[in-house]
Order: sequence, then C-alpha cells, then structure tokens
Amino acid sequence: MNLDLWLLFVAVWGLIVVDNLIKKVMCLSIVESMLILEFLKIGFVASGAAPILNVSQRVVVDPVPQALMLTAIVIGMCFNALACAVIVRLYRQTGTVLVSELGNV
Amino acid sequence: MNLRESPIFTTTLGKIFPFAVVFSLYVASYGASFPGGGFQAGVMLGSIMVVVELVMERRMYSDMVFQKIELSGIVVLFALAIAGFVFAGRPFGGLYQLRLEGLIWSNAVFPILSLAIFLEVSGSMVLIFRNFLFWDQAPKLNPIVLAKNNLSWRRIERCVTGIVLGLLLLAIMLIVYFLSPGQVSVRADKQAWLDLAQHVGINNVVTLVYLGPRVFDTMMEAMVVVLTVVGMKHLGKCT
Repeated sequence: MNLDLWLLFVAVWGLIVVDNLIKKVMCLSIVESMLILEFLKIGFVASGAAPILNVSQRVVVDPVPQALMLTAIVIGMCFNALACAVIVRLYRQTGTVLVSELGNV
Repeated sequence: MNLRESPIFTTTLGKIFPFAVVFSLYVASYGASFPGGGFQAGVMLGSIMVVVELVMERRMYSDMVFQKIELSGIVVLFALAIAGFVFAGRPFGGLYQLRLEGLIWSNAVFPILSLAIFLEVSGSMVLIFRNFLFWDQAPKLNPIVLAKNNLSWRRIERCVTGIVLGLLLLAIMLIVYFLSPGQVSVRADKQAWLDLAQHVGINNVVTLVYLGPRVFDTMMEAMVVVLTVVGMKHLGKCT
C-alpha cells in the first residue's frame, strides 16, 4: 500500500479514536502533509532536476504542484496556529482538552 | 534552569542570529534564480526571531514593529495590483494571465512581489508565535464590557467606513476579474512558461508560477495570514 494511504489511515483513525484535542489537530496536520506529498508525487519525474531553467539537464519536475503546495503550507500553518489558540483558550476556560470531559463541563 | 542563564544557548544564538538574518535576505533576493524566494526567507527570519524571544523570554521589539512589517507587505501587494490596473488595464500588470501583453515593469515586479511576501510572512510568523509565547501577558479584555464602554458614534462610523471600503474593494476586484479582456489561461503549454520566464528574467519556474499567474492566490493567502494574526490576538486578549 502507498505511504500516503497509510498516512491517511493513521490520521483518520486518530481523528476518530483519540480523545485529546491537540492530538486531533496533529492528525489534521498529518492529513495536510499527506495531501502535500500526494501533490508533489503528481509532479515528480524520475531523475528529474529542480525546475530551474539554466540547468543543463533537460528533464525537470513539474513546477505547478510545488507552487500550489507553497500556498497550502501557509494556509496549513495558519490553520494549525488558530486551532491551537482556540484549544489554549478552551483549556483556560474549562481546564481540560479531552473531548470526553468537555461534555461534562 | 532558565534558558536565558545558559551560556550555551546565549552564545550559540549570538553567533547564529546574524548569519540567519543575512542568509534569509540572500534567499529572498536570489529566489528568482535559485531555490528559495520570499516565503521561505520570511519563514527563516520569523523562526530565528521566535527562537531569540523563546531563549530571552521577553519581547525583543514591540508588536507594533512586526505589525508594521506585515502590513507593509500587504500594502505593497495591493499597490502593485492597483498600479498594474491603472497602467496596464489588469491587476498586477497582467501577470495573472500567461499572455505577455499588458505586462508592466516586468523585470522589477517579481523582486518587489518577493520582497512583499518576505515582509508579510516574517512579520506574521513572529506575531503568531508571540501569541503563544506571551499568552499570559496579553491584557485581558471582556468584549461585551469593552463594546459597552467604547460604543461611540466615531467608533461606529469607523466600522461602517471599513466595511464599505472592503465591499467596494471586493466589488472592484470582481468587476476587474469578470470584465478583463481576453481569456484567462487555465492550463498553459511549456512554450508559454518559457516565454514568460525569458520576458521577466526569472529562472526558477516555481517562483514564476507562485508570483506570476497565481499571484491572486498569493495575495489572498497573505490576507488569510493577516486574518489569522488578528483572530489570534483577539483570542488571546478576551477573557
């Protein structure tokens, strides 16, 4: 099985089973990394060079998925930061980050 | 033991800090020809600033400095969009289309865009991580009490003006997007990329895509980062 499918399986399993909100954010981060890996695989060419025009090698990898993923990395960073900030605020107010305990608060 | 009292941390950081700052400037300026660019350089500069503040456990510069750095990047992005619209009839001087007509200052616009992304990312990186580092030091404000105390006509007027200006800007961008002449290229062939790269003098094709035809996405991404910073500051301050 492919590595990205394993990553997706681990992340979805974590999202369903794990109780801790921080670990759920980590699982979402794994999904994002899996998507980045998948996109980079689309543009990958075996023995291809970096997409810089003045290199002598003729075969280069596809630059478009790489440029798309630059945006995805920034948005992912923003998402993680905001999610962690919400969790910190939740912990300050309720004293817990466990979903099972949040229902009783 | 406090990190600030450790001679290993402080000495190593003192040696690494100037090197990291210079290297980030190098990466930002050579992103057109080699792997690198404004985003990567901004992350490097922001990271080293965060490490310095983590070790020293205090703010090296005030929040206002980094807010100004971040907003100057956004202002440069919008200024380039409007200048392209005024001089060439399309935002960013036609960079969002792969056709070569309508490109203005083609050799200068890419380094300026790269610099804008560098400023925006480095400032927002520091501001985002600062919210976590100094979470306890943020002034605690109750939003309901704050709204009751500060509810004045001037404040309402400023809010309404901001909303109207934002809607106006959105309307202008939508009009420009739908009324711009010609067909926007969705998938370009190899020759179009090579022509654009030769015309603007850029060798790194990833930078060419990121700051060229996808420059609208880059601008929206910068806006998302600013919104994140604002949201985190709000979350940190409210009780």
